[in-house]
Amino acid sequence: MTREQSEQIEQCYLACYRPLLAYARAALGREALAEEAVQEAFGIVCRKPEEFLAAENRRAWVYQVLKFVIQNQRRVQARAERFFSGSLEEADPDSLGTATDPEDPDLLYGDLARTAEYRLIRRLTEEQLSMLELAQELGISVSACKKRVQRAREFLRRRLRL
Amino acid sequence: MDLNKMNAEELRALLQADAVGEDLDPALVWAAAERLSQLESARHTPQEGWKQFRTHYAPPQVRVGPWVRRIGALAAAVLLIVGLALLRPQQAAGPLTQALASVGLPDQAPAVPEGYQIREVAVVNTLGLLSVSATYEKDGAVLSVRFFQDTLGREVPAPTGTAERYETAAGTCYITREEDTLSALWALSGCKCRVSGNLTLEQIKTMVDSLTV
Repeated sequence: MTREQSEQIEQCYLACYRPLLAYARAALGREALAEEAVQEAFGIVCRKPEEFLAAENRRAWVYQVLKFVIQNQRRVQARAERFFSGSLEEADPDSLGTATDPEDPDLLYGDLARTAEYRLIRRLTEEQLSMLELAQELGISVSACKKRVQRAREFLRRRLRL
Repeated sequence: MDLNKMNAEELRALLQADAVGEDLDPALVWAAAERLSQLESARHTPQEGWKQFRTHYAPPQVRVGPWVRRIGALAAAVLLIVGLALLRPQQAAGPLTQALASVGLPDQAPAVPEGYQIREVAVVNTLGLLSVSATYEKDGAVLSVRFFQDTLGREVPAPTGTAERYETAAGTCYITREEDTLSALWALSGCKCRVSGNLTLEQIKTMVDSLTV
C-alpha cells in the first residue's frame, strides 16, 4: 500500500468511525467487540486498497464489509455458544457413560475442559472478550492471538470431530 | 421514517435488524447510524481508534530496502540455477557459469572427467564473501569445484604437509592428497579455486588446466 492510499484510507476511517461504531455496537452489544469489528473491516480495506479506493461510494463499501464482519463474528459466536451450552466442565464424568458406549470414550472421559484451548475459546465466548483484550491479557499481539484462537478452535474441532 | 424523532433504542433496533440480515436501504441505515452516534458516546475518538488500528490491526507493511532486494534477487537466481542443475544434469557447464557470472566471478567451467554429471550448484555468502560451489557425481563418486571470491588477489599460500607444486598459466597450484581424495588449490583473477575428488593426478591436472587457460 502506498503512502497516498494509506492517507486516503485514514481520511475515510476518521470520517466514518463513529457511525460504523454505532452500527457495530447495535449489532454486537459490547463496545470492545464493536471496536474490533470496525478495526477488522478496515483491516480488509487495507488488504484491498485498490478495490476500495476505486469504489464509487467508499462509505457504502466499508459499511458492507463491516456488515460481513459482524455476521461472521455472530456466526462464530453462535457456534461457540452451542458448543459450550453442553459444558464439559460442569458434567459429572461418572454420568457421561461407560467405555462400552458408542461414543468415543477418550472424549467422554478426557480432560478436554481443562485444556488451555478450551479455556481460551470459553473466554472469548462466554466473557465476550475482544481479540485485543485477550491479546493484552496474554501479553501477545492481536495477530498472534488470532492464530492461537484459530489453533484452539481446530484442536477442539478435531477432538470433538465436528 | 423520521430518524430525528427516533430515540436511541429504536435506532439501535433498526440497525440490529439490518445487521442480522434484513438488508434495509443502506442510505437509511447510514443515516440511522450517524444519528445514533450523535446520541451515544464512544470511549475512543476516531483519532484514538485510528491509532489503535495502526498499532494492533493494520496488516504489516513490508518495507524492502535495496540490500534486501539485491539479496532476494540473488537468492532467486541461485534457486533458479540449482533447479536447472537438478532438472537438466546433462548441461553440466551452464548452471555453474551462470552462478559464477551472477556473483561477478570469472564464468569458467571446468572440464570434468567423462561421465560426471552436475548435481548441485550453490552460492554461499560467508561474512560478505561469496563463493560458488558445484558438485558432480559419477557412480556414487563425488567431485567438487569451488570458487572463492578474493578481492585481494593474493597468491595461495603453500599448504602445510606434503603437497605437489603444479605450475599453471595462472600461477602455482598446490595438489594435496588425503587417502583417496586429491585436492587442488590455486588463485585465479579475483578468486581462488579448489577442486577435490576421487581423481587421478592426471585428471586433476587436466581440470586445473581447463580453468587457468
